[in-house]
Amino acid sequence: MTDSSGESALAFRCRALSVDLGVGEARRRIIEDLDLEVPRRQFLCILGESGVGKTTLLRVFGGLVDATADSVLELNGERVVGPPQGAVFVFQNYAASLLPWRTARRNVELGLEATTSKAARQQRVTAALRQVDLADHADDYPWQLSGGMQQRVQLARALAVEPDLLLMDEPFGALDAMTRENLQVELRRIQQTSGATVIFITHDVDEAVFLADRIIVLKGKPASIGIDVMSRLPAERDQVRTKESPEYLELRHRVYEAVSRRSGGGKE
Amino acid sequence: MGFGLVLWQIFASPDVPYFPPPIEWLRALAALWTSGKLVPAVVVTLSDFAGALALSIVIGSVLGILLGRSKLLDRLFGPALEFGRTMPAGAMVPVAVLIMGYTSSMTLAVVVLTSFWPILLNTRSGAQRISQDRLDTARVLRLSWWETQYKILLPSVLPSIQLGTRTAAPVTLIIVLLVEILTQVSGIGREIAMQQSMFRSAPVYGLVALTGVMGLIVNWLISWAGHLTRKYDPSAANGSEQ
Repeated sequence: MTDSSGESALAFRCRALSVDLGVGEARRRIIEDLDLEVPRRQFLCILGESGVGKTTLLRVFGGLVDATADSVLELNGERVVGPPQGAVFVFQNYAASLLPWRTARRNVELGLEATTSKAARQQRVTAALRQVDLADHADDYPWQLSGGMQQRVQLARALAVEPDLLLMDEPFGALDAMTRENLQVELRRIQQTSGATVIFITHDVDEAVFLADRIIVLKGKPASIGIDVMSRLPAERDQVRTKESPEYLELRHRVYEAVSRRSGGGKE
Repeated sequence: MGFGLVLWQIFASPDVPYFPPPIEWLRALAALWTSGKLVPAVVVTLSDFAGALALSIVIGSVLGILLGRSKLLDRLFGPALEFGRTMPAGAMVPVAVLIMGYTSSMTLAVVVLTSFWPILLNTRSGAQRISQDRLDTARVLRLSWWETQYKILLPSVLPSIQLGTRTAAPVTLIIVLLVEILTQVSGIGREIAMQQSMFRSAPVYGLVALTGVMGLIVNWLISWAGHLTRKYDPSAANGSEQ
C-alpha cells in the first residue's frame, strides 16, 4: 500500500506480541505471538467472542497495559511505552469517562489544556463538536445529554487532539440499535474526512462488516489471529445500500463462519 | 422549640436558681455584651473553630486521597487509623497542654486531631471508588501528574470531602468548646466555665443557647456550600436520564 504524503505508510505495527495478565499463580497468557501491521487511514475491526482478549489487546495498543518484554509495539515507528502521543482511546463506558462537572465543551477541551493556546483550543473544540454534530449542545452537562450524545462528546474529545490513531473499545456497545447505526455512519464519515487510522473492537459481526476496511478475528486461548480479511466494500457506506450489496453479504458470511467455528479459517 | 421556650418562660419560677426563664438568659448575655466580655469570647471561639475546620479539611482530604489511591499506604496505616479515630478528645487535652502549654495552637491541635477523621475516612472511600475508566482517560489524554490530581482526582472526591465536612463541623465546634471549658484560657467555653463556677445560671444558659445557634448557622452554611456543586452532580439533579 502506498501513501501520497510520502511518509511511511505504516501507522501501527506489532511483532511477536504476547500479553500476560494476573499475579502469581493466577498469571495467564492472554495473547500469544501476534503480528500485525496497520497501514495509515485503515479502518480495522477486531472481532472475537467475549473473553477472548479483545479489550486487553486494545489496552496494550493504547499503552494502558504492558506487553511481555520481548514484544515489539510501534506507533509511527516509535516504541509504545505508556499511552503514546497521537493515539487516543475511546471507552465503552462514556458515563465514567466524561467528567460530570464539565460541560460538553470543557470535556472536549480536557486533552488540549496543557498543550494548546486558548484561541487555538477554542477553534479545535468547536470544530470537533461540529464534526460530531453537537455544536448546539456545547454548554450542556453530560447528564443533560442522551447516551448517544455523550458517546459523541467522547468521540469529539478524542478528535480534538487530532490523533493519528483512534482506539475504540466497543464504543457503541451500550447504545440502542437505532443510535448505534447512526453513529456507525457518522464514525465512518469522520474517519474518511479526518484521515485517522482506527482500530475498533466489537463482538457484533454486522457492525464490523459495515465499518471495516479490514477485519481480524481473534481466536483461541491464548488468543491469536484467526482470520484476517480485507473488505471489498466501497469507501462510502450506507446502512441500506451497503447492507444489500453482495460484497457485504459475502464478507458477513465469511466472518460469521470464522467467529462461530472453533477451528477457524486459515490466515490470509 | 420556640413553643417550648415560651412555656419555659411562662412556667419558670424566678425563685428556683437552676432553671432561669429564657428572658433572663438574654439579659445575662446583654450584660456580658456591655461588659465587653462576650464579643472577644465569640471571636476567639469562632476563629478557633474556622481554623481547626479548615486545617481538618486540608489534612483530611490530602491524607484521604493518599490512602484511597495507594494500596500500600492504606495497608500500612489502616490499623493505626482504627485506633486513632476512637481516641477521645478530652483525654488528649492534658497531654497537649503538657507538650504545648495553654496556647491556641494547643487548642487547634486537639481539635484537628479529633475532627479530621470523618473527612479523612469519607475522602478515602471516595478516592477508592473513582472508576478506572476515568483514571485511564487522564492517561490516554496524556495529562500530567499534577493535572490529573486537580482536574480529575480532586473534583471526583469533592462530594466525599463535603460529606465528611458536614459530619466534622458540629464535632469541631463541640471539641473547641470542650477544650475551652477544660483549659479556661479563652473563648465562650471559658465564659461558660467561669459563670458556672460562680453559680450564675442565667449566663450559663444564655451562652449554651448561643453555641446552639452557632451550630445551626454552621450547619446551614455547610449545606449551602454543598448546593454550589449540585449543578453537575447527576445523582442530585432531577431529570437525569441515561
